[in-house]
Amino acid sequence: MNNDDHSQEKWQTKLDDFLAQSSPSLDNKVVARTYEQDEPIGNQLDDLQTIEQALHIEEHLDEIGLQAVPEALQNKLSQITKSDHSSANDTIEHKDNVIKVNFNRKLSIVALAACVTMVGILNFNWSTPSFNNQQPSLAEINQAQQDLAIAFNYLSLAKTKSTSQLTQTINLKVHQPMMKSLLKPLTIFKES
Amino acid sequence: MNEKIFNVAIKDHQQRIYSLALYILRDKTEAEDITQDVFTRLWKTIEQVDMSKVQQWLSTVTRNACIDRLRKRKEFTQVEDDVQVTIAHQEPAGNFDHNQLSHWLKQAISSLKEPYSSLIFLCDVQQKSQDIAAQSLDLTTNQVKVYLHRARKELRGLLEEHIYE
Repeated sequence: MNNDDHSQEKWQTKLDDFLAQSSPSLDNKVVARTYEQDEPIGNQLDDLQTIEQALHIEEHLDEIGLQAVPEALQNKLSQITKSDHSSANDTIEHKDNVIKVNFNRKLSIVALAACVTMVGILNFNWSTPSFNNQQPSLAEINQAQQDLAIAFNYLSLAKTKSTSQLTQTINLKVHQPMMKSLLKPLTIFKES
Repeated sequence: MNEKIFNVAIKDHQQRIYSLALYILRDKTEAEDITQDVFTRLWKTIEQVDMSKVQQWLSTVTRNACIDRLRKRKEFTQVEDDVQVTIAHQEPAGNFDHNQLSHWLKQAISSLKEPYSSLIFLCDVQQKSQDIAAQSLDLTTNQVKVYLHRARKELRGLLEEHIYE
């Protein structure tokens, strides 16, 4: 700790001595003015002097002398490319997991929607003009389309709603009404 | 391949970059942060950087990052002020070479239209006051302020173009 403090003071002294003996070149002063902000924070003069000094130090860095890089920093620098690889891998793995989870969820919902759609199709087949003596096909097609639209709306909410919630909702909104209409012709048959 | 080139750049320049950051910021922890940030930035843009001029690139990026850090320090200590904090200036990364600076500056200043060229020469090169510049160029002080601001902005644009060549 003491050695560190002492060595820190040493470099500061060296820097201060250098800055005391030399001032920024005219070129650096001109360049500093181009870099100065339009609306400087607080004291404009301070900002300009900061930039001038930074340019001056940069120009005469070898003259001032270089400091040893701390070991901890060297380790961090050596990790830059490795952390980039691992973060890329993590991203891929994370994406894989997310994809798998989403796929599993979506698969069950898609399967459910497929069943519902099949029921709808069966329902459509039952409601032929020979039984109802009308042209239900267009109305029923519209109804089926609406029901499918509802089903797909719920599919789009798959990320935020749980599978059970969706199942319940689809059951309530689509499946049950379809089942009811499916049973109707059977009831008619029975009665007749 | 990029990794190899990058590691060589670290080995060759880490001491220089760390020292530059340390001298500008006078803070060991901040200097380490800046050094790490700068090399991370190099790694991310390594394919766009001309590695034959990587030392200049690193120095310029480090210097500007340090200046921004110093400005942020001032923001933190001036919280009572009503002055709107400005966004950090654009970072001219690239081949900022001090050796060629004099020659390039002369050409750039000469290429500015009047009275911008004269104002830069009087106020920035000869360090005359704005009042004297106003008298010399038959302008009002306010005009000098406005034109000088524009002139410096134009010169900065030329500087950035030069650096990106």
